[in-house]
Amino acid sequence: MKGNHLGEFEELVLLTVCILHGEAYGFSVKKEITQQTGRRPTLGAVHATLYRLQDKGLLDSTLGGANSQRGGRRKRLFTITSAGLAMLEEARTIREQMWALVPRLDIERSLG
Amino acid sequence: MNTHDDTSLWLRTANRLLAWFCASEVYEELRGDLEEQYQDRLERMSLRRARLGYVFDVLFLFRSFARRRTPAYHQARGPIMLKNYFKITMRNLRKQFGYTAINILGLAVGIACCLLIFMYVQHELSYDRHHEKAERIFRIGLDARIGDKDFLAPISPEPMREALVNDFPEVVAATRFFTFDDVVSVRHDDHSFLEKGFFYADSTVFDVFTFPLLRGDPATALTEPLAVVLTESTAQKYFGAANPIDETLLIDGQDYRVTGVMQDLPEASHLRFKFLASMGSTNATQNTFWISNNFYTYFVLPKGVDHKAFEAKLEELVQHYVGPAAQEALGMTVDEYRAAGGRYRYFIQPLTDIHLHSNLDYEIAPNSNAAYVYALSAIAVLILLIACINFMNLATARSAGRAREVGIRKTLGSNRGQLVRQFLLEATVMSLLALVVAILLVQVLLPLFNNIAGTSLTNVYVRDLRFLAGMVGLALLVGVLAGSYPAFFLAAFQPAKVLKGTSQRGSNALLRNGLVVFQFAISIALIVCTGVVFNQMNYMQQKNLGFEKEHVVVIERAWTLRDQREVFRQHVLRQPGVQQVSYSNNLPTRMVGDNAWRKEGAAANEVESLRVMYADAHLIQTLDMELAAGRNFAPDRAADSTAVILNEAAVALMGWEDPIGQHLIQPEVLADMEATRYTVIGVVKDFHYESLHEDIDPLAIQLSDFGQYWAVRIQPTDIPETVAALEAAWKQFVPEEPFE
Repeated sequence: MKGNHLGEFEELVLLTVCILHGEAYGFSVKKEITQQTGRRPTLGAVHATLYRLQDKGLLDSTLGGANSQRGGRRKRLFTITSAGLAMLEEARTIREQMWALVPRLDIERSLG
Repeated sequence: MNTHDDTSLWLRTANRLLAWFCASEVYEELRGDLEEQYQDRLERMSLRRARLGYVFDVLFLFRSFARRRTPAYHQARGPIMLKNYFKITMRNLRKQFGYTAINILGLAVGIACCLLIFMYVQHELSYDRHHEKAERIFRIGLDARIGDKDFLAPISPEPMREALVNDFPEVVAATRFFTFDDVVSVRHDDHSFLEKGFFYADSTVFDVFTFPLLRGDPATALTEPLAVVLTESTAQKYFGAANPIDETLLIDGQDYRVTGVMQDLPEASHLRFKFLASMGSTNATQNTFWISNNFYTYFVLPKGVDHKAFEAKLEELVQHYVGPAAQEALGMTVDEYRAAGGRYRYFIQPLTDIHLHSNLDYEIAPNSNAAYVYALSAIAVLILLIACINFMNLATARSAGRAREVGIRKTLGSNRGQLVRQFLLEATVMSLLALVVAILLVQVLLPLFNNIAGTSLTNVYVRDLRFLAGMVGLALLVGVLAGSYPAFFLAAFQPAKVLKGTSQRGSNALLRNGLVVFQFAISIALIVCTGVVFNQMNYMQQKNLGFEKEHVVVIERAWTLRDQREVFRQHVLRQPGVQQVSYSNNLPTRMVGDNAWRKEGAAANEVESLRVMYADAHLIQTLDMELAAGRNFAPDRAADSTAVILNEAAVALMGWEDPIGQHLIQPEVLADMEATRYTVIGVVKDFHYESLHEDIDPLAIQLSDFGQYWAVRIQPTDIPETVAALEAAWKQFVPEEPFE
């Protein structure tokens, strides 16, 4: 299926959810992305991506506990599904295969 | 609920916005994340910047979450469902053909009425607007009170045009019209016709009005005496396709040279003429007396001149010119005259107001009335409203049949808005169909309508793009208007109830009954109005006029017989079928003038005005009038030349118990004429000699030997043969005169 590939930002969000492992929700994902990459996505963009990935079946979610910092509101905690993990791995594999095919010569030349 | 400070209006507004656009499923978590981010910011930056950041966060969320409100299956958008609605509409229309036919026909009749009325109103409003300077052309009128008689007429004296141009530098151009309001005989080669619409005009007529000349030069066409400009169809009538320029027409015994051919006047023109002769051709211009008003004067003002202010200046004319003339004629100054209760004032009328707002004495031709236009427009709106209500009621009454469909659609996920849209679409499709039917109806009914309304509207509007667009707009409006109530009514059905078969009536009964009552009320009102108008028309036609108008043949231009009159009369009387023949200057409804009279023995200034008919001794028999007292004229009594027959109204005016044998003095008109003493010999019962709109005024009938008309009473049997015999007789006596 054509639309079955991960977008660049989607891949980033998926990876972040893996890193946060059980503590992934909108704001924490946003913060982690900023820390790891220096990018500053809007909260809306992060949320939209999270929900989209959930619709695609790559993420799962449960409503978690609240804390006073959130004004007593609960958070939706996202975890990666096996389909999501498979997708990430597939993406990684494809990339590594492709890197393997890049001729060394060119790299040396550009380095040299 | 908020733990963070909600003292800020900004934050509260932002939260309200979020609650509005955000689907409830995700609201909780989003609010939480926003809150956390806000707290995070508070640690790092100022309160102000944190708040600002919060607001922006909410705004950025809008992009991603605003459309998440409804689950995905509700989002089957436009085209797909539209196609389905359209299909269902068509199926319904076909399935319930009877209902569809009634509904569409009802709407179509309503729209057709509206279209016809609109075309008529449009026509009425377009009068005299085809002139380039239409907005700046004005006509001078006279508002005067002379004795105890009021004059309000669009007429002015001969020198008015010159005075306007010379005394008021702002007047751009001015022209006069003059007409005898009579038929003229026009001859070319062997064809001769009696023609109406023979006007005299100044050469400047083309500077004031836009009368495009197809041939000839507007600058010189009417400068010479005995020059005439023809309308295109008149030129066609006399000269066919040939060039009529410099040809001659024999008009009332004088040779006129054709100097121009102008485009036919549009129907929407209050001026209606076929011949425009140069003003120099008539001796009417020799009467240059300022208080003798015989001309219609029109003039052009420049752009931006306030015509009301200009009107006030016309008082100068009264002071400068009318004053001396009045002094001469009445022996008093204008101020004295006014002090004595008289009035003399000129006023001006915008050209474009004449057709709808001018209803004065001595109009060139009777005008229409703005009230008709308003009334008709109101009727058009009412009719359309009735049609819409009718449509609504039919649609709601049928709602039970569609209830199940609504139930199923709702169960399958349609929301209210979609259903409303569906039913509005149905209504619009029907009203567009109705529009098509209406246009066809208009095409068919237009000749009939023209016949009744006395217009010659054409369907040019149907070919006018703007008009078509307007009509489609109207149909859409009607569709939405008529469809709105049924649509909301149907869409509000609750699926559970409908599918269980529970009827959902009741709460709407009041509204629907109200609509029906309203509809019937308007219908009945319109029917009553129609009945009243119909009766009025009937009255006009059937009312006893006081004389017998049936079976009287009128031959015009009787004076052309000159001294052959009596011979002709005897000859005509011998024709089979002819009962009586009369020669007269006036006939009922045709030109009845008036004259000043005074009772014998009354003071010189106690003058009464009586209408006068001049006729021979046979008029009373010919028209079958009834004598209330006294006797008719006797042809052989010489003394009867100073006899007079009055109508009952005149007797009442004079206040005579026994009018027979009383005397009336006709005062001298000019100083060198002697007053004449008339004896009343008879009284006729009142008869309507003018239109039935008017009261019967006092009238005197005098003997005279000049006249316009032959009135011939014929037997109702074999009318065509008798008329043919009359024509033959007429041709025998005056072969060059047309018989009409």
